Amino acid sequence: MSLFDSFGISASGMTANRYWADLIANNVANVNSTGTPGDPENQPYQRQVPVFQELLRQKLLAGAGVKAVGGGVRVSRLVNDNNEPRLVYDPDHPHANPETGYVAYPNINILNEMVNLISATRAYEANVTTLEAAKSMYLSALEMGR
Amino acid sequence: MQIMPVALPVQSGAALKTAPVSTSSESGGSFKELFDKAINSLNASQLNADANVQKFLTGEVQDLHTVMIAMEEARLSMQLAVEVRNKLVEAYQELSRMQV
Repeated sequence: MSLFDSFGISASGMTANRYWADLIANNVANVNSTGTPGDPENQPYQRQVPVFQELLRQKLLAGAGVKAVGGGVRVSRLVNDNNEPRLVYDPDHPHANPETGYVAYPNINILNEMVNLISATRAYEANVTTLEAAKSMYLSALEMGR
Repeated sequence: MQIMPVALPVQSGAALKTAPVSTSSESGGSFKELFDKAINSLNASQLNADANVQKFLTGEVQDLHTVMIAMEEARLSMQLAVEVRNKLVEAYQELSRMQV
């Protein structure tokens, strides 16, 4: 048992959500990273989505009769969005398919990304709030001695 | 920081077995050991905060919140240590004021 366990749990949540914000920024930045349709060598950018997973404290799992206590969250893996790319007719583009004249744009919807960004920001703030609550509990315990 | 080896009430079922072992205050010099341990963990948390700040400034740690949390932990540990010290001084003064 440590007094600062809840700090570590909140920190893992903040790290995971900041990482999510990083991924969203990368998705938004690569909205124009084109590819050639039908050319497996030259694919457009694929939007990336994180998969969050609960972290368990291994030490407590080993003890008999003790239920596993959550130790925070982590991004266990990244998933590429395999949706069909958006096709735009632009024969002069260097990535245009020589036969059809179409260019493959990544299937990224800016509105979706913005909504996810709001979620990530708010989740980060929620983790900050739990941290503040744990801190004020600790401080009020210290106040007892005065 | 483990200044008080008190088991959490929530864990009472499993933690009760370990609680009497850690509170064996009869053995000689146990207060000194306890004090040493507390001071050492206080020092460790201060050093950890220092190392985190340094790592952040050199770019090794990317997360600002990790640094802030380490600093906050160090601050709270220090506050607890100061509180314990205040209690000790208070107890000493109480004794020294005693009429003989």
